[in-house]
Amino acid sequence: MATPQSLLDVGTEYQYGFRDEIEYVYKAEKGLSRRVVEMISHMKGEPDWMREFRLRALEIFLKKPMPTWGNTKLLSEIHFDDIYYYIKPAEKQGRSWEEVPEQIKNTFEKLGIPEAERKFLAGVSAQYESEVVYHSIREDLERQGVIFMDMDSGLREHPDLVRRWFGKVVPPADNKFAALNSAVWSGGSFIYVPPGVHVEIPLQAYFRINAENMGQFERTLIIADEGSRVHYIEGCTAPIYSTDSLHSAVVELIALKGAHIRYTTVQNWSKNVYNLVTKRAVAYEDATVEWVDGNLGSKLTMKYPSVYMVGKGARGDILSVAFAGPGQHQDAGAKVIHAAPYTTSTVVSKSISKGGGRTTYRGLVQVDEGAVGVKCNVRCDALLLDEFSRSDTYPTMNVKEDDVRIEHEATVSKVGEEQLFYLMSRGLSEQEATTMIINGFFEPFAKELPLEYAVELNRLIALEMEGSVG
Amino acid sequence: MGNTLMTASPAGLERIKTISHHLGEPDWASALRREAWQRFMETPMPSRTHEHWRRTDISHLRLEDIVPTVPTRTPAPPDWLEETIRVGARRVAGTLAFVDGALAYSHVTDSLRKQGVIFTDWAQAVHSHPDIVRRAMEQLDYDPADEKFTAMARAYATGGTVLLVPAGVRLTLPLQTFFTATNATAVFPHTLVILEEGSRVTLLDGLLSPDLPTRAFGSGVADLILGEGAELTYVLFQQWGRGMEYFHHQRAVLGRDSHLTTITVALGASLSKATIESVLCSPGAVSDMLGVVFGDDNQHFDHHTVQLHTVGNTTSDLLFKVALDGQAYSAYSGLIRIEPGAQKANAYQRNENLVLSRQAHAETLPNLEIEANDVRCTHGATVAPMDTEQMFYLMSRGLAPRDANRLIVEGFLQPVLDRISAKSLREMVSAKVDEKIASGRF
Repeated sequence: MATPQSLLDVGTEYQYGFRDEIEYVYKAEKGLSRRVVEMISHMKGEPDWMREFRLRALEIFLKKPMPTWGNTKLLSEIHFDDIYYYIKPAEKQGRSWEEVPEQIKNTFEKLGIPEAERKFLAGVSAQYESEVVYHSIREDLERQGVIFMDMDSGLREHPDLVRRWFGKVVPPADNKFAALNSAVWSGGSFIYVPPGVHVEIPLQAYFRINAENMGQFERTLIIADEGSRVHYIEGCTAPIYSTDSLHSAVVELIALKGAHIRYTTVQNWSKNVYNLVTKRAVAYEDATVEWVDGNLGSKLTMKYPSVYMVGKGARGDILSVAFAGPGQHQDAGAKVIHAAPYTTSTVVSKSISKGGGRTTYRGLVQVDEGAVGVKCNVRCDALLLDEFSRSDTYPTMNVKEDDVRIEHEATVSKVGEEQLFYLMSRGLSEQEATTMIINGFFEPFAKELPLEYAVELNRLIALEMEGSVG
Repeated sequence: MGNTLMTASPAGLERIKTISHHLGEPDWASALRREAWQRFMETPMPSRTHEHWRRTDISHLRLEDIVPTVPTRTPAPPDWLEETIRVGARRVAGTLAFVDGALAYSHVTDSLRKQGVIFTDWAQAVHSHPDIVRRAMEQLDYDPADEKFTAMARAYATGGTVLLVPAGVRLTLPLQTFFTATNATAVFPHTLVILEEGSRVTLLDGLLSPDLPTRAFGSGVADLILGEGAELTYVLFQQWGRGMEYFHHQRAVLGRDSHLTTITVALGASLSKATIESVLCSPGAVSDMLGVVFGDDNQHFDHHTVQLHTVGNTTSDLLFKVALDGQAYSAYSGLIRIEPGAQKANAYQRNENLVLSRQAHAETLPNLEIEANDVRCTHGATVAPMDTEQMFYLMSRGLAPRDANRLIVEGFLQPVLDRISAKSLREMVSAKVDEKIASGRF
């Protein structure tokens, strides 16, 4: 069995590393100040409460020290004054595909989003630059009362819903980067699924960073009302630039009684991006939240998707994979907080480090007083492909109740020699065999992805593995 | 009551001069003491924001105000300690006992002496074996996070055990040393174990006292140095009375093909925090680290273990079992660290927590930092309540709930205690663990 030619053809050049010349309608000044934040709010024509919210968050951001844990060396290299905090690419939002500016369509062409897929998708909310320029919602979704739009439109058109939930799951004071996002957020998705509605097909959004030194601070809020069901997918690709970019998103999920939310991420920022993201979900009674989180790109990712189980019988599942190549540090993990009885959670983390790359699993399992009958299982596996790479595991389990079962297991090892020997005895080259073993290692993640993402993941791994052995 | 609580730091300096003088220490020893004191004074109090200190609140401690007792006379061991010594006496090769930092009892068998084993107190060893002790002391290198406490312990230590086992001497009978507090409100136990090439010994280091009438403080260090092919079983048995707040740092340095088994048994104190570290810096070294914690009432335990593999072809294993009743709290944090180039290192770490009461609180943080790839590192941690099926089974056989409970907790902890190969020590420690379990609410 040989690796398909298409896998080997994938070039060593970063394939999405092109850059379009785009005329920016408005370009904010570099750096962060009260004036910049007020300008952002003014440009967007926001209500007073949002402006106040932003200004308060700015104060918190300025006051909060940088984290003293994690990769403090890389973090210290972020120059907050050298970043554009808001850029508006086009004045008006596209209503239909025809209205989308030609240049932006070209970008999607290069990204290789097939025409058929666009039609198949329930709605494409593509964040290009700092603001959503295009989205459409299939009519049947609209008929069901599902709201799927960019966050700015959400704020305009559904002010009550937004005001009720915005910043409630991730308050600005949660951490320095959540505060930053709260001050300068722009774009992102707003989704509301009415009671009992099952959204059958995944809702998707594509994000890209453009413009040198531009930050991307999208803000996503998903509310699944009682008994509803929704799957949201975000995938990222970004062009390569010479200086560092900062991506600092906040994602808030609310799964009301009996609701089910799955949030899938395939993160493949170019390798100069700081990806510092706060993702958190609240699961009410009998609700389920699943995070499926893949981290392949970026220079430094710090992201710990979390589920707060606040209602009896709630469930949280987090599946996280990370791949760190040369110069990369994937500091990812998961947090499950059991604040109610009979809540259950599983965490599976898989990571691979190669060529001096570093992966870190940082996790928390917390069981609050009164949360009886809790079950939680955490499993972390790490593969180290060479002697220069590094893998860390920092789980924390904090249990304040006796009637609970918590298990954690982790292993770190290299690619099994016996597996390699077996595959190579069947005629595979060492590289093909290693690629196959790694694909197998990531299989639990890949099988949770829609087909096109799984294919992309396999291609990316083959690309990463090229020239790494033999 | 000892006059141990004085204010103003120079009192500390005066006091270590007095101690040095009183013990008749050679210049190099008092210089080391002064150096340690200097470091103690210069090191700031650890901040709660430091990862290592996040889980133990020490903001009420005023370390600079604590001044050690100068041992002025040879005290007699209290009755309860004499009893403990007597019980094991026939099956051990030597016993030391310290009361409030002064040597109160010492016995070594003739055969031990004939084999050239040195088993004595610190004050004696600095005179009789200055070169060996000095060389060992100058090489010590502790985790900076514990510096405040380790430097303090080294500056103020008065009593303490020194054990030197010459090359090739393999002892079959174990040794035991006890350190207790009666009047002192501050204790600074210090243990130094040096095993030369191919030697073998088992040492029990007991830190114990009845419940203390007032709040007491302790900071201790244990240094274990294993030469090529040496085998050491070191049992740290901590049963300070309530009222004690005790800080401990144990560091073992393992030579080529040496084998260390360290068994930590923590039952006592109101608050205790310990760092237990094995440095595997020569090929073939093996470290087995085991621990048992049983907490009740509102006892606070904070254990940190380190399995540091600086070179390859080294093996470490760890099993830490924690049972908690009442409102007891336990934090276990463990680090396996494989340094770059330490290929073919093999490390395992397992922490199990048995939570017996709704108010008990267990935290576990088993950490891995791996910078070599041809390794096998695995860790696991569990937190679980009393197994109701086991309870049901035992009760269906006619056991009262109380007895069934006790049996299950004993059964949970026993696998660790079974690793104490010296029978007399195993029986003594097991009896004390069982006694504490039985004294609980069951």
